[in-house]
Amino acid sequence: MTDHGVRAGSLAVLIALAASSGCYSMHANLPGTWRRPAPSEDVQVLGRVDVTTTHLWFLGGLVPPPSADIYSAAVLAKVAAAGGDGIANVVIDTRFEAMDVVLSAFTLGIVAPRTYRIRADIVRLPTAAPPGRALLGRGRALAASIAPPRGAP
Amino acid sequence: MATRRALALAFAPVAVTVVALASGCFHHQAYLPGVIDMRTDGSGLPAPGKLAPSDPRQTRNQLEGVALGQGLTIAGSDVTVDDRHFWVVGLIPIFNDSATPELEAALATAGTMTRLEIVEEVDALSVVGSMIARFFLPISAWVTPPWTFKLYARAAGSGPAPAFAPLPAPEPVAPLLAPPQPAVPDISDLPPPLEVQP
Repeated sequence: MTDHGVRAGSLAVLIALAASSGCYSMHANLPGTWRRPAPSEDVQVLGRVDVTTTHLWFLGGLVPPPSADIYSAAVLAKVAAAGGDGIANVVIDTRFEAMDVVLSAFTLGIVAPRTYRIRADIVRLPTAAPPGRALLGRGRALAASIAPPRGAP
Repeated sequence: MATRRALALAFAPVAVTVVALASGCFHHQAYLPGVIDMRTDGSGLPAPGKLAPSDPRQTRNQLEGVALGQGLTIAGSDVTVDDRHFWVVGLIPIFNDSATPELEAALATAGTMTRLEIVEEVDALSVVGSMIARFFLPISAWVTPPWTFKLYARAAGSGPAPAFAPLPAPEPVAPLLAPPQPAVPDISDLPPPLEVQP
């Protein structure tokens, strides 16, 4: 093998590996209205949501893409269960855990798990709901509409 | 010559290990300030007026934009945050380790937003750029292809001011019972006595 051959081979390995480091293209929706609360707004923290999901990628992250509701389905369910109106202080983590690295290295990127995590405070808001389609379920919306005003005994 | 060939052959497994580890281990974190009101999807909010231009410090152009992402851009009511992140061997973040300044600027500029979409990917441009960089600058093989974080949103309402007012304070209710009246009128309020004619 000539030097040129070795160089070309090394370059081919690098290109293949770089290409196999893949796409990992994740599109996630977060439904609702994102805004900064007014300084005088009394935002009550009701609890905490912390959801971790591991998604299994194949072929260096080319397929399959995770569902668009990878965060929203779990978050909406937890906000509705806690009787909240939304979330605040949202932190989104994406990481390759140790086992993900081992599995990915062992399979040369053919199987590449990746871990997605969302953390936030579940909050109750004193403002009226913005106009639009209800997200937290009909039962939750009905309960809110007939509930006594906040602050009432 | 034999030594060089042995080194060259040993390069492949080392490269496999380095790139396999470099494509892993990394930890990306994005912090979204503010609140997300999930009672409705906000689709009934009015379209915004003309938004103020975004903070120029959070928008990158030309070569810097290609390398680090374009930062915060606003086109009509479409708000986009585009941020590229780099790690050395997938462990040590370098150059641009957080999208939080751009997200803060987006919130300060657009105020209220709906239809949030978060995108994370290693896009084709990043992979091609990384390959080219490794060819010309071998030491860049220690740096992973950039991880792109994007946030798409649609501005709604009237800009940075809250798009919907807080609930109005309750109206003061008139008392059902009138305040008690004095039983005997004050004599000072009585008219003067009539004078009797002889």
